[in-house]
Amino acid sequence: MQFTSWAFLLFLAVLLPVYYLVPKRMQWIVLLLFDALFVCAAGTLGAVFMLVTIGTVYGAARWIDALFFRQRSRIAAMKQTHTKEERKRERLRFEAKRRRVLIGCLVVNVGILFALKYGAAIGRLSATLFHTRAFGSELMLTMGISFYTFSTVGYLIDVYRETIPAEKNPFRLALFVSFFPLLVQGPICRFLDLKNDLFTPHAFSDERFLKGSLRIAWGYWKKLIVADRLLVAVKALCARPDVYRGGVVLLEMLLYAACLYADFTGGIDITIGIGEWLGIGIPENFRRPYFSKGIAEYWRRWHITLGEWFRTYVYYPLSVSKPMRALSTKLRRLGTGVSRRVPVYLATMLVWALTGAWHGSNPTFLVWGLLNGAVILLSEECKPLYARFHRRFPRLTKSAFYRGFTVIRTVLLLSSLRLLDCYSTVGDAFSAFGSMFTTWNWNLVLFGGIQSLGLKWTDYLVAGAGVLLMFAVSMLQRKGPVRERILRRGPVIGVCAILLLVGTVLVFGRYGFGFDAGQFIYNRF
Amino acid sequence: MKRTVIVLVLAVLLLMLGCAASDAVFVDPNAVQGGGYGELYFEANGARFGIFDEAEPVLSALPAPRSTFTGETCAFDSRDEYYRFGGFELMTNEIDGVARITAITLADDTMKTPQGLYIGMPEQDAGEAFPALAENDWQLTDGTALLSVVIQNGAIASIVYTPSNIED
Amino acid sequence: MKRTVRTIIGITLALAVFFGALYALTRLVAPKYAETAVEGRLVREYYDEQTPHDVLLLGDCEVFSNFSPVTLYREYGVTSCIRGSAQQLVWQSYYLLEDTLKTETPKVVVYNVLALKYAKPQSEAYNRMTLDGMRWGKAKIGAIQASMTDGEDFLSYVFPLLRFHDRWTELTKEDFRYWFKNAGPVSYKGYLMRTEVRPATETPIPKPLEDPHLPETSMAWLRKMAKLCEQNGIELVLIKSPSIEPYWYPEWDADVRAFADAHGLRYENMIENNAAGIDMQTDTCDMGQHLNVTGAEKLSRWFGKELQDAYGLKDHRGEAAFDADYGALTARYEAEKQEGN
Repeated sequence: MQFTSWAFLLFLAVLLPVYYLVPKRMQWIVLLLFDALFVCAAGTLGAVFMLVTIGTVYGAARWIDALFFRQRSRIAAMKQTHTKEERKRERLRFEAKRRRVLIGCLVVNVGILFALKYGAAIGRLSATLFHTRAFGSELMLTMGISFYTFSTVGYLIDVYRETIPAEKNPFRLALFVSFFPLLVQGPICRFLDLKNDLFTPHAFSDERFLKGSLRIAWGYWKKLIVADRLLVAVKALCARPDVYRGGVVLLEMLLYAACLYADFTGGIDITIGIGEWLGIGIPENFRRPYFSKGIAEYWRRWHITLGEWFRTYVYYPLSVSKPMRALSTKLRRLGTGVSRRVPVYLATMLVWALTGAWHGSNPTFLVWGLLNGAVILLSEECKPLYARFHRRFPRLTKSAFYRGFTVIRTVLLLSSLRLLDCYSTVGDAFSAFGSMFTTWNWNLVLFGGIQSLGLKWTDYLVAGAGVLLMFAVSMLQRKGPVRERILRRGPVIGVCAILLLVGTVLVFGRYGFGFDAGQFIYNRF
Repeated sequence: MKRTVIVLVLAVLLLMLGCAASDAVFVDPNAVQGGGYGELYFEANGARFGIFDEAEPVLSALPAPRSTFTGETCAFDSRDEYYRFGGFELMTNEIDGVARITAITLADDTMKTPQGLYIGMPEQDAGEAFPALAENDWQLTDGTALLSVVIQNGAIASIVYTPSNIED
Repeated sequence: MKRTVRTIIGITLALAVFFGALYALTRLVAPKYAETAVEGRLVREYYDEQTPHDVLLLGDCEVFSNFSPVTLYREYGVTSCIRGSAQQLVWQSYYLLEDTLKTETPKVVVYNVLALKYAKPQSEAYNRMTLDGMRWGKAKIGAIQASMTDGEDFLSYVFPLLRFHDRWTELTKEDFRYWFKNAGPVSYKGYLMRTEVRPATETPIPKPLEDPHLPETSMAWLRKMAKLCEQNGIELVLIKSPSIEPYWYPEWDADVRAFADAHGLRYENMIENNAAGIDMQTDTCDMGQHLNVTGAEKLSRWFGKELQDAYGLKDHRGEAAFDADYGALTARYEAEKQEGN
C-alpha cells in the first residue's frame, strides 16, 4: 500500500476510530492486527520474510539474554570454587556463544535482505557470464525490508550489548518490526525509542490529532504537488542520457534535488503525523538538510536515522575492532598521522560503501557511496587549511553571503553526486556531468527543452511555487516549529491550515486518471 | 576555500571524463518524426514513403487521389483522413500540428510492396519473398512502422502498414 | 464553555467554506459539454423529459444522429426518446435501459448493434460522456463498474474533482459561462441534429477480421438486455443503422441475425434493406458515417411506420400533454433546421 493510494487512506480511516474505541490496553494489539493486514496486502511473500525475521530475532535475543543470565549465575557460583583465570575462561566461553548466536541470526536476516536486493542483479550477472537463464529476477524486493531489517538488527545488537533487555513477548517484538508507518520510507527506529509509546495506552487528544493532521497534510502536499510532478521531468531526463546533455543536466540535478527532498521528507512527514495520531513518537529523519554548509553536516541532517544506524552499529564497532587496532599498531612505524588515519579511512569508506549498497544493487550506488566518503575525508583533511582561511578573512567568512555560498556549493556538490542515482551506468553519470562543461546549449534548455519533458509550463509554475513554499517553511523553522506556531493561534486556525493544504492538494496534486493516462481529450497518438 | 578547491578539482576530474562524450544536440526524443522506419517503407509512383512521414510532400509526389474520405471521431475534434489511390490507400492524422502518414493499406493486386508482396500472393511465395516477416507470424516492426499481413486460404488477404505502437 | 462554542462554530464555518469551495471548483473544472463535445449532454437530458415514451432507442452515434423522434411523433404520433451517446458500449446501453425502467416502461426498445464489436471498455473520455450524465442509482454503479478502463477509479465518478482537477490549466470561456448555469437542451429527445450535406464517396478499405465472430462478452450483455426486455414485456428490436462507415462485416451481421432468430427478435439491417430510400449523396453529413436531418427524417418516416404496423403503437396526437410537449420541441427543431439550411 502506497501512502498515496485510496486504499491507504481507507486503511487509516478505519484504524483510527478502532484504535481509540477499543479498551486502551488492547490498542497495541489492534495496531498489530492492522500491521498484519498492511503487510499481507503488500504480498504474502513479504509477510513470510517478515515472520522469519521476527521469529529468528526474537529467538536469538531471548537466547542471548538467557546466556547472560546463565553466565552471571555460573560465574557467581564459581566465585568460591574456581580461580579468577577459570572464571575469565568461562566468561569468554559464554561471550563466544553469544557472538555465535548473534552472527547466526545476522547472517539469516542480512542474508534475506542481500538475497532480495542482489538476487536479481547476481542472477543477471551470472546469466551474462555463464550464458544461463537469469534466476532470481522474479524475486521482487518486498516492501520496507531494508528499513525493518535494519531496525530489527539494531534491536538484536542492542540486546547483545546489553543496552536493552530482550523483549519477552514475541507479539510486542512483532509490532515493533511491522509497525506500518515505518515500512514505506522509514525512518529506521530503535526499539529503545519506540517501545514505551508502542505499548502504553493512549487517550485520544484533539490537539495531537490536529498536530498530526497538519503534518500529514503537509507531507501529502510536498509529495503530490512537488515531488510527483517533478518526477515526470526527472524520469524523462534520466531515461535519455544520450539526448539530454549540457545545461539540461544542471537543470536535472536541481529538479532531482527538489523532487527527492519533497518526496522523502513528505513521506516522513506522513509517517510522523500518523505516529502522532496514534500517540507514538517517531524520530525526525531530516533537519533542513539543504541548509548544510558541508557534506558531512548534510549527512547529519539528511536521513538522520540511517546515518546514526551506521555510526552505532558499523562505524564505531569497526573503528575499535581488534583488526583495526592491530592495523593501527602495525602502521605506527610509518608515523602517528598514518596509523591514526588509515583505520578511520578504512572504516569510513566501508561504511559509505555499505550505505551505497543499502540504497540499491546497481554499481552506481556503490560509486556514489564511495565518492561521498571520499569527499567527506578530503574535507576532513583540508580542515586546517580551512581554519586558516577563516582566520585570514574573518569578515568574509562570517558574512551571510559566504554562508549562502557554502550552502549552494553543498547542494550543487550533492546534486552532482546524485547523478549516479539518476542513470543506470556510472559512465552515463560521469559523461552527463562532463557534458555540462562541454555542451553549451542553454538556449535549447530554456526555449523548447523543458516543454518536452512531459510537463506543461503550468506544472513548472506550480512546482516552483511549491519549492518556494517549502523553502519559506524551512526558513521559518529555524526560529521554531512552524506547526506549533500555527496551532498556538487556536484550533480554528489549525483546521483552516489543514483544509487549505488538503484543498490545494486536491486541485494541484498530481494524481488520478488525468495524470495516469494523459490528456482528457481523446487523441489517438 | 578548501572545499571550493575540492569541488574544483573534482569538477576538473569529472570534466576530463566528460570530454570524451560527443556534443549531441538536444532534441525532443518524444517528438514524432518521419523517416524513422527501416525497411518497412512503401514505394509508389517512384515516391518512397513510410509511417510518420509528413503527408504533404508525399501527396504532392503522388498523382491526385481517386477519392478521399474523412473519418470523424464521435464528439471529439480528431480526424482520420483517407486518400485512395489506384491499388492502395493512405491514412493521415494531424500530430503536433503536422499531418503525417499513419496507415498504408494495399487495396488489390495491382500494387506490390518493395519486397514484392501483393494481395492474393500464395503464402509460400510470400514467405520466400520476405522470410523475416513469415518467421515473425506475419507481423514485423522496425520500431516505427508495423507491417501486418493477413493470410487467408493460403494466400495474402491484406497488407497494412501502421505505427508500431498502435494496435488496431 | 464559551470558547468551546466559539471553536465549534469556527470549525463548522471553515468546513462549510471548504466544502462550498470544493463544490464550486468541481462545477468549474468538470466538462460542460455545452458548446463543445455536446454529445456529453445527451444522457443527462433524458431526465428533463416531461412525457413518457413508447419507444426507446439505445446505442451509439448511429442512433442519436440517425433517428428523429420529432418526425416519429409528427408522422405517426409515436412517442419516442433516444438514449444514445458517443461510443456507447453494450453494457452501458443495458444499464441505461435499467435506469430508464425505474421511471417508465416503453413498449419497444430499439438497439443499434454496431457497438457489439467492442468486448472491452475503450476510452475513458467516452465513458465519462455516457456515465457522468446518468442519475445515481444501482444502474449507474453497475455501468461504472463495467466500463472503467485501466487507471480509472470509482471514487472519481462520485467526486469528479478527483478526475478533472487538472483541467484548471485548460479552462475556457465555456467553463465560466456554464459554471453555475445549466446549458440549454442540445438535443430533441436525444436526437442531435446535423444539417450539412457531405456526399459519400469510396469508404476506407476494411481490414480483414482476425476473429470472424462478435465477442462473446458483448453477446452476453445483449442476452441480458433481451431478458430484461422480456421480463418487462418490452419488444426488443435490433437494428443496424444505415451508416456505411465504420464497416459492418457480413460475419457480424450473421451473428446478430442468428441471435435474433434464436430469441425471436426482429433484426433490421438498414444498409442491406434500404426501404427508407436513404441516398448517401444527399442524406449524410459526413460521407456516410452519420445521417443529416433529411436522412434522419427519411429513416424515421419509414421506421415509424414499421414500428406502428408491427407493434400497434398508439397514436398520441391530440392528447394535450403530448401536443404541448412536442409542439414546443418541434418549434425549436424547425428553427434549428431552418438555420442550418
